[in-house]
Amino acid sequence: MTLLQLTLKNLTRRPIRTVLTVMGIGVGIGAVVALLGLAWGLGESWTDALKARGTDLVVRKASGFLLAEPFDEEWIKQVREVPGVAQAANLLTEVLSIEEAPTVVVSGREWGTFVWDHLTIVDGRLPRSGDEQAVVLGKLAAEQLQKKVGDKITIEVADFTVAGIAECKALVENATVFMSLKNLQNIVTKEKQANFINIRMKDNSVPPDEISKAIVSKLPNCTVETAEDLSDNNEAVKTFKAMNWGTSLIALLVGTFGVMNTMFMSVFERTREIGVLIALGWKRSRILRMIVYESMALCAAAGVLGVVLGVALLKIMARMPIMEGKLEPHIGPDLLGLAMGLALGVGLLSGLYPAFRCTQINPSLALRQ
Amino acid sequence: MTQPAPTPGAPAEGLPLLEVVDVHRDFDDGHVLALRGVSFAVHEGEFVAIIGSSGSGKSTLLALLGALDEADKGVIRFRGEDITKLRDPAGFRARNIGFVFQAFHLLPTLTALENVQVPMFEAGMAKRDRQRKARELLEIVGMGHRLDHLPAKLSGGERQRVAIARSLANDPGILLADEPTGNLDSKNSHQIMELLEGLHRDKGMTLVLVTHDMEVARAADRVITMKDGQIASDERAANLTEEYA
Ligand SMILES: Nc1ncnc2c1ncn2[C@@H]1O[C@H](COP(=O)(O)OP(=O)(O)OP(=O)(O)O)[C@@H](O)[C@H]1O
Ligand SMILES: [Mg+2]
Repeated sequence: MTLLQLTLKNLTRRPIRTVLTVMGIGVGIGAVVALLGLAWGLGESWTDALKARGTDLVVRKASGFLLAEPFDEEWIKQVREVPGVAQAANLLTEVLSIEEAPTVVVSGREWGTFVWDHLTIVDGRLPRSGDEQAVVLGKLAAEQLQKKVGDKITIEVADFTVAGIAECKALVENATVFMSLKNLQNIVTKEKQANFINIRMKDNSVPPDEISKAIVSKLPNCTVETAEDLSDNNEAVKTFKAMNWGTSLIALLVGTFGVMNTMFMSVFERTREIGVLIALGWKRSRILRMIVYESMALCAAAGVLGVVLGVALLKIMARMPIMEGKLEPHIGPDLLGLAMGLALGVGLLSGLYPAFRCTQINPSLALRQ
Repeated sequence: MTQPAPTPGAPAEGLPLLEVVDVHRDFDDGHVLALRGVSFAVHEGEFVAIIGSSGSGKSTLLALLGALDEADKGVIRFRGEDITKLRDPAGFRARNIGFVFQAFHLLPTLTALENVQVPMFEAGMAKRDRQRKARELLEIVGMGHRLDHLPAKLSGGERQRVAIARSLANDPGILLADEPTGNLDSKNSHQIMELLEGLHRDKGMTLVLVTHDMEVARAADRVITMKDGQIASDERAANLTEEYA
């Protein structure tokens, strides 16, 4: 018999209480897995969107908060000279109200650059040139604006034709209206301006850090972010992640108090037994370990249950029509590991105080009971 | 260092195993004077019974002897070392003291074999050695055939045998037993006393045993009678007066 075996036997003495506690915290961990799986999935769909269009790095002005500030489109020339940069494209992204829709993301993309290559046209075609008065709609944008191929669409003061409908990996891109940079510059009167430069790197020849440094030294007003950074810094993703973390922490806190309550009940009814262990010469540290192991064992079981529940929930959500194809939840060893880690953390946290109280038991008093 | 008062009737044979000098212990802010100046010594290999009416301070004294509780005044020495101010009383108990309780106090979730191993965790023994030794001890107390039984499946007498095996787990210098037969019928009581006497007689185990039962006390070499927190008499068995007969 080892200390751990002795600990596990303690959990079998009130099987119903043990099972209920495991289920309680397990459901909490399951919620954490589901919430974080969604949040991480959203972040990744942004990253994926950038990756899908072949963008490794994004240059923007360092100032500016929610919306990137515009800059001179000629800056791109300096970026193209930096070693390691394979291709670079100017983008102007605006949020406009179009017809009945109050906020639509409009992405003006430099004609003839790689950022057009990765739009998957599911209906119609791409514009014939950067000068054609034509747009491509993301699938969701087309639904939202109720347009199909060949329809006319009025954006600000200009009329365009819907040349094609594109299906995109990221939710955000699906809701975007695409046109040539030049067209967008004209209608929002930001001639010769862009607010992003997308960069595709040469294969691993120069590390991204060095490219970033070289660009910033040429363009001191700018910051360079990797595709991952950019989705991490995206306000929508950030808010969603923060909300989900907040909800998760509440779930974990509730779970911690639940387990602590169970542990208190468990050690309270064993005061005399613990007194016996102390009388038999057990060190306080061993008593402490016994109780903490017990709560950690409870939570480890809850962690396994929570991972199973959470993954099941994510799989079901991924199949639901409002989510399908738009947001792929993140289910990976990192999330599952994090969930187990959080579960064990809850076990440690909720076991320590009851365990500490046990070490304070006076054995001669406890044995009198 | 004050010399201990010679034990009545016992040959003075060097350093006592346990030496109690003017020990006081009170409870409830001095309202209950459980021990009021107790002094005596126990030598290696002795079997001492402590008797006295309920509330006379027997259990309080035993707890102090086993470093389970702290005296308010006085000194208790074990092999010459003052145990009233130990830095690590648990370690002291694990190494030197074997406790046997009236209510057995076995852990209900553990088998006989596992219960006996509980104190061995503090002795730094390997898992396999713990198991082997627990088995040997259970065989010594006549429980070799009940190794995997939970306490709930054992009779009172059998439980106390397991508890005695457990008290021997770390080869203690002394066994302290508080009414070990108090929860047993006369037949089981007899058998437990035979077991304890055997340990004393054959293995030279030093025994301090608290009891209400004169029958039980009669087995001891020496009987200390407690009254109102003090020693009323301390006599060798041979000298026991008629009043106990
Ligand atoms: N922790 C305590 N708090 C308050 N009073 C106590 C405590 N421990 C013991 N006492 C009191 O000290 C006195 C001696 O108690 P003790 O348990 O030593 O008696 P005892 O001789 O063992 O009695 P019994 O034969 O009934 O077991 C009693 O009056 C008891 O009520
Ligand atoms: Mg008593």
